[in-house]
Amino acid sequence: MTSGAYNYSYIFKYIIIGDMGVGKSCLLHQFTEKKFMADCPHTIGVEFGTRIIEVSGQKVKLQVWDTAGQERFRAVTRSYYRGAAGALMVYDISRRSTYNHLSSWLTDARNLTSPNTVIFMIGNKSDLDSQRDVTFEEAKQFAEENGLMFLECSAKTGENVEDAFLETARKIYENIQNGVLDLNSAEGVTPKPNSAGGAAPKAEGRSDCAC
Amino acid sequence: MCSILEDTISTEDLERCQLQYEKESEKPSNPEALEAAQFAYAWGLSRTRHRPSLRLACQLLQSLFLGTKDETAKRDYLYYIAVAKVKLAEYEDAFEYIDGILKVEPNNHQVRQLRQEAEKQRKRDGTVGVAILGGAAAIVGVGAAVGAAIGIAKLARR
Repeated sequence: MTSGAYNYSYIFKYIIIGDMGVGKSCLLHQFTEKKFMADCPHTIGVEFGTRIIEVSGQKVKLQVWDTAGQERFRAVTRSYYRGAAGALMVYDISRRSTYNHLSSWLTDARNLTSPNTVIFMIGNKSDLDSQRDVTFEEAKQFAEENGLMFLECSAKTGENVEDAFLETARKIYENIQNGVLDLNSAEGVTPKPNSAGGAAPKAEGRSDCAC
Repeated sequence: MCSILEDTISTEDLERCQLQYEKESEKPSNPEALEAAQFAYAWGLSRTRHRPSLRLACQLLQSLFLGTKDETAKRDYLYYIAVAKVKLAEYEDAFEYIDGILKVEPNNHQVRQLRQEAEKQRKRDGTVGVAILGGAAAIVGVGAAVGAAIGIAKLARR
């Protein structure tokens, strides 16, 4: 995180969901640390990451909840879906079963988030093209049929990882601009008081935790 | 919020977990369902700041820990016991659990992060403790000064 990064106009909440071992935590780590985390142990419950990005000249703080993919966590991780402005739904292009389970993850995401939540489908491990088990075309079609944004990424090489997070934010921002997202009722999007025309002074040097 | 120690749960979510756990305890559909419900409830309790709830979380997680042979599950239960212990400011126990996991998974960044946050909190608690002691010392200091003044007065009278 860069210094002076506390001046942001919005906070967007994201969740990352998908089967165990598809690389959710590695995607988050690549996005926040710009590094590939090898030998990543299974996530315990949920993990939390943040990064400040810029969308149309506005600073936006992304608050990302990375959920454990293990089945026994599912009952609890569901309670983290509420209020997400963006959902990254991940499968592994080299493991067909993780793609086949997307409809179940999508059902959860649709039922537990708001209709305006931007759902971005990610085919991770694009570096494993030789072991590919799901074609790009097939996945693209699934995404289109379900109105999802879609990219293949590699948490290992970093390919398209930024784009997936940033495009989701752009879409959320677009929804705000178009009035699709009403800021007064929108969950997962928090305008900072100093940016939304409020009289509150700029929260300079504020704790990163006060969100 | 930026740490597991600041994570919270809504009352409705916690109540839902509690109901599910009570239902399964009375009439378990199968052992896995009971374990899952018990864990969900314990996890929910560990996300509160309510001391009796945190203690109950520890109890439920300890019994889950003893009842499973699954090593990953054991690790997860230990982790949440440690979270609850940190929140209860029972640091000795907390660090014992955290370091126990780190012995097996030295590079687990979630556990390492919890350790750092626990250290930070303990230091903060320690600072508050020293401040209170410092206050007490100041009072003692004043007392001693008064005592000395009286002593001097007595001496002067002689």
